Order: sequence, then structure tokens, then C-alpha cells
Amino acid sequence: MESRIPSPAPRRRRLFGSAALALAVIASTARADLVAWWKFDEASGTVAEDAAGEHDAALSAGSTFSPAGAVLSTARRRPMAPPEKS
Amino acid sequence: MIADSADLEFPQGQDFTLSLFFKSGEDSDTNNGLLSKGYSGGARSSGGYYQLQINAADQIQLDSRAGSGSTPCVTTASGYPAFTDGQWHHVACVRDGAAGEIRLYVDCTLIDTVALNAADGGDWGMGVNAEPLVIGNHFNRYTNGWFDDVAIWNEALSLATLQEICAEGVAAVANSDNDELPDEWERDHFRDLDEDEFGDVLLDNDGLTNGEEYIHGTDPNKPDTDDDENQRRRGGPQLRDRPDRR
Repeated sequence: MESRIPSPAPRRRRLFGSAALALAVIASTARADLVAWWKFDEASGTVAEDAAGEHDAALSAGSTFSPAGAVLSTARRRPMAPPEKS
Repeated sequence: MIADSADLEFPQGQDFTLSLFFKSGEDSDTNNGLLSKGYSGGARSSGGYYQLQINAADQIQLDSRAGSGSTPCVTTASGYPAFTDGQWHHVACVRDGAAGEIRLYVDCTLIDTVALNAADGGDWGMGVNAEPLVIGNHFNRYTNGWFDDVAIWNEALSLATLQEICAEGVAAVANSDNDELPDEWERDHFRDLDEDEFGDVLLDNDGLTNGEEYIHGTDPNKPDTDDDENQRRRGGPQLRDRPDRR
């Protein structure tokens, strides 16, 4: 996906440091137990693939993949206010 | 809509991170949902629910209850103006047991912190029910707009990791093959995910493993990693060698 948010200052990587430290830092930044990830990069169709697991998403009526690599929801509005509010 | 799965449920004591990018459209319902498990249809699940929603003031917040009743209930403060401003925003909610808190971020700015407790602090099972996970609907209140890069982790991500996501998307930190190298970095350099952090791919002969190349920000396919014109590894790996004699 393209960057949506103004980026923080670029990280400067330096060419030194021990391997042990390096791997510890890797573990803290890259290793994440990602259980589900919907990129919405599909060009068409009604299923958004889960890039991390097996939790594909079915698009509801009114939702479509957009050329920008996102999913566009143009869902219906309720005709009347619901009776209860959380 | 995503079918129910234990992967998407967070029992008491289970850390998690919810993350998504959203750009509002027009004419969404009021108090509409962005990401909801257990309260997308007409009633709260007895197993409790979690949801990111846009409240009546157009501000983002986490809302969760332990069951179908009114309490226990946690609702984070929102405090971010004009979330429905038609611009892309990143939202993240982190339950961090080690820190004893739930944190809500918008564009990697901390919006609210709630101390974990069983009365009104979200220290209970969230989304532990048979309901599907739903994007863009809460209590049949629908959301108009764009969603991108929606992701869930079963651990608490650090602010540094969230900042990487804000800047570059989930791909910057995703690691689907569970080695120590982000998928994006592996694909950029190797075109696939077959390598791990211990290898020295293609034997570029610089004495650095892929893991070390990643953390140094160097090219794992380049023999003369430090550009000192010494590609022969005299007396040790690259970065600590000496230039070739001329």
C-alpha cells in the first residue's frame, strides 16, 4: 500500500553493533504474531484474502475493491434509528 | 465479514493489537462500527464483544463489554477531532497485559490509556463468542468509507512498530513465515520467503547473516557490504575488514 500518513523522520541505520544485539532488535520489531491481515489489494471479486492466515473476508453488498488498493464501503443507512444504543 | 475463529478472540489475559487505515466517506450512520466482533448484528453477544467505532462526536473509540449487559464495560476516551474528515487515518488499539493497560492511537498519537481491571478496564474475554468479525458495521449501523490494511495481532505491538505501520503499512512489519525477517524485506532482496535470519544468501561472502544484514540495513546480495573495495573477507566479516591494498 502507499503511505497514508506523513512519515516520521527516516531511521538512520549504522554499520556497527553486535550480532546478539542485532537479533534482539529484530525480534522486537519484526517478529509479531500476526493472526489476520486483509490488504484489500484485490482488483475485483467479493473475497478479500487474509494474507496472514485463513480468515478470508466476504464482502457485503455495497462494498467493492477500489483501484487504490482498499475496500470501499458504500453501505446502506438504516431508515430508522435503532431502539437501543450502547 | 469474517467467520468466527479462535484466532480472532481474546480471552482474559491475552494481549492483542487491532490496526486499520480508514478514510471516511459520506453519510455513515451515527455510532458506526469499524471493526466489531460480537456486536455487529442486533444484540450484544453474551460472550462479550470488542469493537472500534466512530461515536456520535465523530471520534474513534474502543468499546467492549464482558457480556450482554451494560457492565462491565470499557469505553476509551476519544478526543481526536474530526475523524470523519475525509482523510486517511491509522487507528490502533493495544491491550498490553505487561503494562497493565489498553492504549488507543490515532496516526500513532496516543489518544487514551485505560488501566486494565475487571470492572471498567477491559480485563475480560473480548470477542469470545460465535459471532463473525465484521468490518464497517456495528449494531447494523453502517460505515461509508475506505478501509485498508486491516490487521490483528495476538500480542501488544510497541509504538515503534506502530510507527512503522503508519509510515509504510503492515507489510513493513509482517512476518508470515515466522523467521526474524520481515516479509517485505525478504521479497525485496530474495523475491520469496525461503531464506531466514541465519542464512547468508547466495553466499555473498561478506560474513554477515541475513539477520545481520537486515538490522544493519545492508544488501544481503552484495559482497562488498561496506563499500571499502575489499570483497575477500580478510581476517573477518565485512564491516570490520580493511580495504584492499592497491
